[in-house]
Amino acid sequence: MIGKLKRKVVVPGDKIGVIEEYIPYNGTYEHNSEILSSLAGFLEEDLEKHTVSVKTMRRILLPKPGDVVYAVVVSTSEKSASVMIISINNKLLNNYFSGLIQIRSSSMDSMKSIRSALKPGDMVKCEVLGYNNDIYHLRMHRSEFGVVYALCTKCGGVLVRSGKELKCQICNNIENRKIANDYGIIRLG
Amino acid sequence: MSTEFIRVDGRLPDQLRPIKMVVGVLDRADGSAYVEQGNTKVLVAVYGPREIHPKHQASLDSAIVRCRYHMAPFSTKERKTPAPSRREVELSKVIKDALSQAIFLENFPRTSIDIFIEVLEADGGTRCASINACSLALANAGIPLRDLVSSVAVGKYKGHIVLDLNDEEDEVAEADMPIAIMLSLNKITLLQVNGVLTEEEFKQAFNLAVKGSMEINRVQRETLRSIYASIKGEED
Repeated sequence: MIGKLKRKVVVPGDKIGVIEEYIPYNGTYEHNSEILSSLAGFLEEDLEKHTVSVKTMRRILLPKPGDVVYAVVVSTSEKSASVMIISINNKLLNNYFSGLIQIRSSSMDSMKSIRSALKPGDMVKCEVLGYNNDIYHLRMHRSEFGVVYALCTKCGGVLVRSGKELKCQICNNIENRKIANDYGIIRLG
Repeated sequence: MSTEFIRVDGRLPDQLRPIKMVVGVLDRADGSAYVEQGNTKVLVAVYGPREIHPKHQASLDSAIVRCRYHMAPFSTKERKTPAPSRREVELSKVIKDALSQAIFLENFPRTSIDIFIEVLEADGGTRCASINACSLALANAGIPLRDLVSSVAVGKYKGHIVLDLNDEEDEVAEADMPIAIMLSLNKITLLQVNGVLTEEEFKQAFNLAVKGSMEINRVQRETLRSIYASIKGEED
């Protein structure tokens, strides 16, 4: 049960209470045994857990391990592809983060190289593994991950799924990718 | 303090200029604010936390703040060249330091928070107006802050300690002292003095600045609250 404290609006620096009253959660912090707001938004208290948090309109999005992201392929090589992460957990970013997909973390037994599984410009759905060497590492190890949107390399037409392959709507060119099982569907909130 | 002293623009020594603050004025920025203090007009855009380019600037355990204070060529009486001047580079640094204290930088390692300040019209107190606008824009961007930073200048003009100097006063003032304060935490994040003040005058000026920043802080809070007050009406 989350009791909304009369939809009270707080701004950074506002005193919410003392540390004996609540456990400070998201959007709040403790200073000299008092709880202060660190965000502008609605105050929310959970009477069962004795917590307070502040709910804002704008939440800051950073990729974390386990997040499902959409990314656009920038370039490919035999063993890896560099991508731009454009959405996290179906929420579109205002900016982007650089990502790297490596062949060893992507379980693509049928594919000899990343180059044959992904092409620059493809939209891929993948999972965040972690952050290392200044870049987010991604993987597409499950069938739900892979290319969700791609264009024909010959004419630029949209590729549609036909069985295990992709077919160009305009020139009927057949292409191969590591296709996600929900190819053609992009969910962005 | 002589209360009979009337200033060039008709204000009393302890009177601020009229303030106007708007938040969320830019669509493309993560957070933005527009502030007017008298004829001084400042527009601020905040981006981030986002990936740093160039990457070697990144800090492994915290976000970095990058700040650009810039005066528009049309902001002054005579055209100001758009190239950053020595003064603008210094103010960028000073404003960055005043704001970094307030931000929970450790929450966003390896990212940058970019602040762009554009002075549209300069009539004294631009660094203070910029800091006020920046803290609003940061709050608007949803970046966690320890407190809002409120800033105001005090000075000595024709022998009187006065609050919030305009350009005309600033040019002939004996002293000018911009201060930025986090009021809830009782912390000063910026204090500069230009000119000469005695110890007694400094104390008097400082107290006046605290009083002035409380008034600015009140307007800042009201401005931020007003957005959520309008949502409240829609949802209920």
